[in-house]
Amino acid sequence: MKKLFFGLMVAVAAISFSAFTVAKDAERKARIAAGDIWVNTSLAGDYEKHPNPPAFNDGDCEDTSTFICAYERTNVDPTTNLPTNMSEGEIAQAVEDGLLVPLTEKEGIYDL
Amino acid sequence: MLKPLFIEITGYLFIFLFLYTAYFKLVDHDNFSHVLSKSPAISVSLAPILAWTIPLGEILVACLLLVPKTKETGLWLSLALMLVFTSYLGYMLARGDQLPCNCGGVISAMTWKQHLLFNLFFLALAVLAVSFGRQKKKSNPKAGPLSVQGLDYTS
Repeated sequence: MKKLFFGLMVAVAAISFSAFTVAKDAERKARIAAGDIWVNTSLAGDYEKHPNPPAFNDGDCEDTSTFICAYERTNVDPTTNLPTNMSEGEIAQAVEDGLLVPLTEKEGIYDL
Repeated sequence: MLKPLFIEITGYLFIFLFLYTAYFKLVDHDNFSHVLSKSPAISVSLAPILAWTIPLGEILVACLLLVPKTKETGLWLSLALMLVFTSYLGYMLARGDQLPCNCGGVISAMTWKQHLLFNLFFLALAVLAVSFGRQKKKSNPKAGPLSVQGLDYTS
């Protein structure tokens, strides 16, 4: 009986943890919908502005390159316009300036 | 003493793993089905069926692992599921296909190689748990499934 009870506790913990992660993910997606994002489009580390940020899905990050799959625009210096296409170096500079932050931990080319 | 504990802990780990990942596959069902349909190993017509049977199968195995009387069956099915998942990962890696894996939560954040190692770890756990259960059953054939030196796992 104790084992069954403990098993049920583990089951509840698993479902709660999943629900928490889903909620955090939904929150993150809502935030993405409000801002611009740049996605990795080549093995050389080129990035392109996503034409439809709300449609971004990190499930479409193909594990094909060593570059972070996507970056999102921060609220820092909103008057600064970032180009539609950026190289790896330009992305790194924008990150250093606080204009962009990684949107996902995933690496790879994004299937636009 | 350590073997029954190992079997017990492995059972709980699989309950957690299967329910955690099944939840994502059901909540994000459309996306899971979409990713499966893009896989070269799965036909487009089979993808929607698998998109339901995989998470429901995981839930079923978790339920079997929960009940002491069906724990042994649950461990065997866990081993079978991990074999299927790991074979799929190995096949995808061997082919060089780099499709996204919509496996749920933190697991989706892994690269294919990390995912393969993760699966191999769980596969090893399942193999050991099943073999420990069989060893003890042989040494004490009158006892119930996964009973060990008087510690009956069915009680």
